[in-house]
Amino acid sequence: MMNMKSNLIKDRKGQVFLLLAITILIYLIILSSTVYQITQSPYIEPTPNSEQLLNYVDNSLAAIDELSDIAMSQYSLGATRNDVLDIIDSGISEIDNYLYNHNLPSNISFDSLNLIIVNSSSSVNPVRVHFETEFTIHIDSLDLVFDATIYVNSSYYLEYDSIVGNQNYITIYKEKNGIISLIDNAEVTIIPSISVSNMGDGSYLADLDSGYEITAVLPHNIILTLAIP
Amino acid sequence: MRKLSKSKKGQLFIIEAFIAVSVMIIMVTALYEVQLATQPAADSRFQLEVYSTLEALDVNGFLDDYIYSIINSIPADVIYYRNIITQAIYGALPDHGEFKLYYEDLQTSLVVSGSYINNPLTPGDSVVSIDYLITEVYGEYAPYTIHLQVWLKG
Repeated sequence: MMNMKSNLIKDRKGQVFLLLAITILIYLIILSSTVYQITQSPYIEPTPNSEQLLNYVDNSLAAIDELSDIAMSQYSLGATRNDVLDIIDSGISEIDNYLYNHNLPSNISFDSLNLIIVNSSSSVNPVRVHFETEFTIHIDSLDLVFDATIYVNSSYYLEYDSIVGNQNYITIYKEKNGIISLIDNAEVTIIPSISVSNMGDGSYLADLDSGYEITAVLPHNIILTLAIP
Repeated sequence: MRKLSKSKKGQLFIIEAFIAVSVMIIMVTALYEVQLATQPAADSRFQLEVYSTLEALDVNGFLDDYIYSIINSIPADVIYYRNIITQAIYGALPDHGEFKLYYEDLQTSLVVSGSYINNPLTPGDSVVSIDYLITEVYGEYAPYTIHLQVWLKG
């Protein structure tokens, strides 16, 4: 064996062979490390799938929309504008993380300067809580590039038709980007305590009178209060 | 064969052949590994159905109601909303489909104890993972990721 080794080094053919063997070895090391890198890539697990990635984008848009409901709920419960800005900051940072963890590095921001948050709960009919701002989302990954500006303009309203007679309608509805939807699952209470009938179509029937105060707890715990002058 | 192993050229040839075969085996194995790792997830059709169901459950507030009833320890509601979610997801799966689900609180990075649905089940080979993010629960900022695993039995 020793004899064979020394022959291999001395002999020209042996030297060529050794060179070849070393080259193959280097090649093998490079190949195996490349394969290892590919299998460790975050783009392998979970497998890139355009529909699945679009679902995650959809999900993040829905989560952005939920932030507007949080803002209106908290504002209707007495939070300040700064509290609302903090909540939205935390929210978009969480959505950023969520997208990043699904191989979708993103950059989400909102227009905090022009953000409008209003709670008109008072004696002026109708009352509303209103939220308005613009979100921008930019996703730049190997599998998907997505850019969007989302304009959220959302309001919840409570109004009554009249206080004449003893069958008065209170209507509760949501207006989002110009589309109105009636809210048929609010909890409506009146001070002084009188019965309220939920008509199931966004209207609530009660015998209203001057000096009464109507309070409605809407989905997402948004509270509207209207005092009848 | 004996002559081949005795002569120097023969020995060189055997070593070269051995190296060549090894290289080929390693290359084929590597390619197979890469193919295995990059092939599409098994059966993504029901995956989209399940995702749409999660979306619908979210829009109707059931995902929020479920976690709200767990956090506020309202057992009757926990059972009620768990049943709604369970039936909805089974409705999106084929007959031999199975799933398990839990909530992760993103503010603490902890799994919400009690949020498991079908926890004792062991996922099959063709398991598909789906995540769903919610940021709001009953008007509060409360980010959770719902982790769902779906698979086909047998």
